[in-house]
Amino acid sequence: MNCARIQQELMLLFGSGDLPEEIRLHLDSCPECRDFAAELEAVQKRLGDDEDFFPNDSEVETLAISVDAAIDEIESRKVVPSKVVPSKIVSVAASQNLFRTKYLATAAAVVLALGTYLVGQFSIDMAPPSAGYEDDSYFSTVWSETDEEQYEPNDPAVRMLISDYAETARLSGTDELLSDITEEEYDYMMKNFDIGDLL
Amino acid sequence: MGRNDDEKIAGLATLAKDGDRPAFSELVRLLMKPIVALTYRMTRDHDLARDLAQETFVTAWEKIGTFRGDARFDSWLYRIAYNKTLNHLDRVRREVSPDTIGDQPAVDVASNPEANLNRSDLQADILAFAAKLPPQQRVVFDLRFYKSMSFGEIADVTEKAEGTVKTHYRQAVEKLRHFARERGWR
Repeated sequence: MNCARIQQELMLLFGSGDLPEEIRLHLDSCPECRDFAAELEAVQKRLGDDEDFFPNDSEVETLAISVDAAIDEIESRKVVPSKVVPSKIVSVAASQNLFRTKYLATAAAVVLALGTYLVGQFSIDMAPPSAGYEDDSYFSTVWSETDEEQYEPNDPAVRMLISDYAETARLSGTDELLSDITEEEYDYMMKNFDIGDLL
Repeated sequence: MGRNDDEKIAGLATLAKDGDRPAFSELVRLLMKPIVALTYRMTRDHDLARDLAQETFVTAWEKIGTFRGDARFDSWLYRIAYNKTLNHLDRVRREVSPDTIGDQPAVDVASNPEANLNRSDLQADILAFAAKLPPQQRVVFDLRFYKSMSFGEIADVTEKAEGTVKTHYRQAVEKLRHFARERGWR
């Protein structure tokens, strides 16, 4: 091996201890490479070892306790509380009562939308024409009175809100309604209520 | 780490893989020090290094099912720590300067003097040297010099070819030589 190759090898062997026979023989006969090796050895001694960067025992314990706590939290999320209906069970229940629950969700959305509409209408009826406003143009932009449809929500934002809510409730209302109730509550509701009751 | 420690770690890792929490807790206590040392030399930030070490163990628990029983558990852990730290450094680098993504170290020691408080001059020197290395070279140097890992094991941890790992190490040692001369270490 020539000197350049030896020095490359010495760099690869840096920190690993014993040198191979071939390299040791070369160092015996080559002052330049011997200097190179001595320089690396001095640097190596200067670097110290891994333990210089270790945290102390009490710090390790503190860090380990934090890790244990984080893992406890992760594990606790995997355990299903007995009172709450697991999503899998809800899915089965929902599929078994698919028609009924979908209908229930739609009915709930209709009730809410209707309620919103009626409350709005009531507020308009009860409010004096210019209560709190310089003129009643605000109301006239939100609600329109026409011959065909009285108090139809005219504001696009209001219509969009009601429409969005009804659509969300129709599409995902089943899950939302069922995710927060217990199995017992679900059974009780199914036994004791009808859609007509809700409406 | 001695042979007895290696055997103990292997035994505990087998138990932990089967979901044994106390065994995993013992692994955390056995391996926290070298993991912190690795993340600290990579980040040169005391608190960040400890956060990353803790995250490493939490991730290890979450992924313990993917650990191959025939592999070294500490190498597998180093890989998690390495990836986590590298991802963090990449993210910081992008946030700090989107135009200078490259091999520059993420944190300048001079801009983060707190990181070196209460450290010996030697440690400060070593951290200053680490600052001169890009993260890839830094971790290769760390795993080889401080963890005494073979180039094959380092290639496994860093998911690089063994030849690439050797090149990184040689480059790091070459930079170390120049750094030592500048500092008058001889």
